Amino acid sequence: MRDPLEKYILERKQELDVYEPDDRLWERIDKELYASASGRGRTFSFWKIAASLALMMGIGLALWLWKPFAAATVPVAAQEQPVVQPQELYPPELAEVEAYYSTMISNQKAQIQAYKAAGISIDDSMFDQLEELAKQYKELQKELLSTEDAQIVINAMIQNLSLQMEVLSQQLMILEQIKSMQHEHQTSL
Amino acid sequence: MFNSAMRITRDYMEAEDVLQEAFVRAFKNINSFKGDSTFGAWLKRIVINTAINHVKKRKLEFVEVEDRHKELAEGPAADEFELHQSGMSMEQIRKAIDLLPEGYRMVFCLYLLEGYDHQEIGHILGISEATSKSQYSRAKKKLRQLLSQQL
Repeated sequence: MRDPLEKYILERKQELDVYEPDDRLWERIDKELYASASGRGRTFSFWKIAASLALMMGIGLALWLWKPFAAATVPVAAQEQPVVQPQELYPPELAEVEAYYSTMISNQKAQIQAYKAAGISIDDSMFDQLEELAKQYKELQKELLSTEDAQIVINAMIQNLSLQMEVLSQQLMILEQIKSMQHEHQTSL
Repeated sequence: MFNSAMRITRDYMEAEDVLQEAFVRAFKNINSFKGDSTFGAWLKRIVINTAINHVKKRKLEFVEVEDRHKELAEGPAADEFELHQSGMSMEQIRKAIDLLPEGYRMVFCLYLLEGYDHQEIGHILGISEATSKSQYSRAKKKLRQLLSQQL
């Protein structure tokens, strides 16, 4: 159906992507998102915050996949979960996604540890959840090597990673609230 | 995504505005993300729709059949491109796409590069499916003509 010109363009479509937005654009977007989130009154909506976190994660992931240059802005942290396997079958994009998430996840874990060190008690069920997710992830990794439809497994893997991150994000939000409540309590005394 | 916005608006500042507007819109409407496509695809759709709205504000004009018919008839034969294909760089193609009249460019980008079908394009641009098809084939002709002029 496609003529030679169409085929030629489609094969090398990526070479058409020559533009990159200004770095400050992300600051602008970030500011506007923040303004619109706080501009809706002070009603605390867990869902709104969860949704915005999910969106940020999505944007981060999208940028990561679409724009390799975004890699430079991701903070380099000690990677606790070097889940990347040196398999030939292992898709390079997945390795990138894993690297990104494991950086984020270890960052969040470090933050939670800091709260723990400051004497705030942490709900242990969160760690169980994370462990369960990590276990599932390992199984998915095994499955990836034997499956016929790799994309389904990869999607499940990415979903698993983002869930891990979401669990941590929610925990961090709760801890932040506890901390600010403690602070208010102290200042009111 | 930025490049998709660039191709539609053909303006760096406007493409930035589009991205900003689209991301904020996506954030406000995150509830409508049902997960039936990937998040990236959902977001890209919003980016493209926002870009199109921007261009529509500038008044999108589809080239009249009669006006262009003559010009196309005078252009080189359609298969001329194939003769020179090997020496054609994507940079030349990108520039030629940029030179397409607005209506042609939109249909061309949406159909070939973004993978929309003519029914969807008709819906987004407010034209009929048949118009989208004919705009696309004319866009291709015009593109070939522009490319052979470059050589």
